[in-house]
Amino acid sequence: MTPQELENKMKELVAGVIGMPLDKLSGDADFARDLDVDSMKAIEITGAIEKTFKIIVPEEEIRKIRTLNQATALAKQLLDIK
Amino acid sequence: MAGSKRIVITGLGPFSAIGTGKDDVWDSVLRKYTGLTQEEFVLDGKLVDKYFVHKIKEFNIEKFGIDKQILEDILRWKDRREPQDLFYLMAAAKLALDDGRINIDRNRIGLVLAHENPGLDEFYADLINEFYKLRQEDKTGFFKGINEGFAKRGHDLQTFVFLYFVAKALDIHGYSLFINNACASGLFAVETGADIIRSGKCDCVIVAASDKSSIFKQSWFRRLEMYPEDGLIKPFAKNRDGFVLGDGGAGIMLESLDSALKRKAHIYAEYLGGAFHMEAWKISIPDMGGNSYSTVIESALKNSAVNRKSIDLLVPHGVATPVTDAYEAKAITDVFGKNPKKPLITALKPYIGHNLGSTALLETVILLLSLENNTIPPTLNCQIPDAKLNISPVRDLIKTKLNTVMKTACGFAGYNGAAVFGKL
Repeated sequence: MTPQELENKMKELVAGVIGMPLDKLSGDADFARDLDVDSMKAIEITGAIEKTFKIIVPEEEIRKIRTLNQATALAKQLLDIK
Repeated sequence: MAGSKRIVITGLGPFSAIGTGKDDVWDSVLRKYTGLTQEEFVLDGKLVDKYFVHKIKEFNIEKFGIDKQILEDILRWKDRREPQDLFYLMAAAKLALDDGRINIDRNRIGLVLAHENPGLDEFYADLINEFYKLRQEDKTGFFKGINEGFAKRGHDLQTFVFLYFVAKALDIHGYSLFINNACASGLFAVETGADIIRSGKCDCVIVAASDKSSIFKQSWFRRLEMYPEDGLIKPFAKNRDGFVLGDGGAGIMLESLDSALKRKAHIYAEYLGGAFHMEAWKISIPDMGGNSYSTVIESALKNSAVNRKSIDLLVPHGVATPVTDAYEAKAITDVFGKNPKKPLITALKPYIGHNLGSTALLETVILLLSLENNTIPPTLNCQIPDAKLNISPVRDLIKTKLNTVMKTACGFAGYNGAAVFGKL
């Protein structure tokens, strides 16, 4: 998977979980502050990332994920995509 | 179902910051007394930390009627250090045994104990002191010092040692097990005790659990951002922000219906059945997208042959963290519908604090007292329920006929359990 493919997939995935049109989802928008996404949805996003990419997201990282860009960077790191 | 396979509860033994024994604890619940206090952790005269806790101020195992020779034997084995977790477990088991007034062959009485970390706090505290004493030593001296002082004590952290001493103190010699399923341990222990009776190994099983607050446990939950700085547990409230710990424990006497009827025992309720699941996703975070918990509640209804409309009262885990309350509310509303009129829901942690490995059992005991007294205590501190959760906890005491009740628990690591109890 190329970095661009991963970024596109992540955007689809996050938009799907939070119920937001793709074109309205900005990469650096803060889930809680800008998108009114609560911490429960952030956990659901983690679950979806794990299922989609067959990876395990470390527990300590879950609370740190606040934006799409952060979630994508973490997925890239875990999948070793540069 | 054959009489010998039906399980009833014939003894209750709660103790916590609000009292010792079923009458004392129930009276405090009705008075909304919580025993909440602020604890200071002081080292060498210096204040290190302050935290809220539902604290047992005085605990004396000698008041529970345990044979003094056995207590002396324990203290000798422990080099005169009082083993508080062991004594708490012993007290919980003894209270239930006394309340059940049983007098049958002691080889037919089993024992199931539950605790998340028995003995660890004292071990940890003494280890820190020993490290400090040995700080000038080289590695060999350090090894010798620690090994000499802690080899036996490390061995004593094994759970069979706790079972051994409690069984000895209570003269119980049937099948025994130690349970640790995090915060759901109490419900897993009830099911295990019931299984022991159903299998014919015993006629009666004492199920007991306990926990005690400490600076170590407190620090960990604060780091996880699960501690409310005002000390108030606010289950399902809009402003919920975590829990404080509570000292205490509980014992339950489970018995076959045949045995209870034969000896004309007082029967509090029948354990109609339960269901259990291991989500195994993360340690401290439930799987918000999963259906483990709602499946457990559905299965508990099925296993107990009870229609969902027959559940009069449900006591959830109600731990008051933003995430876990939402997880729990979703499971409850998935089964019973949004803003259900039935069952009524009340959360009990504001009365007794979070009793960790014993919390589910202690709350089950209070639930059974609620059933027996046809009285529902309100959920304290929930001034404005979170509308997003779609459940409204009871906020004023209700007196109403109760027949069938449910206790649910969702522990760390995803141990989910639900148990149904009914009047005979």
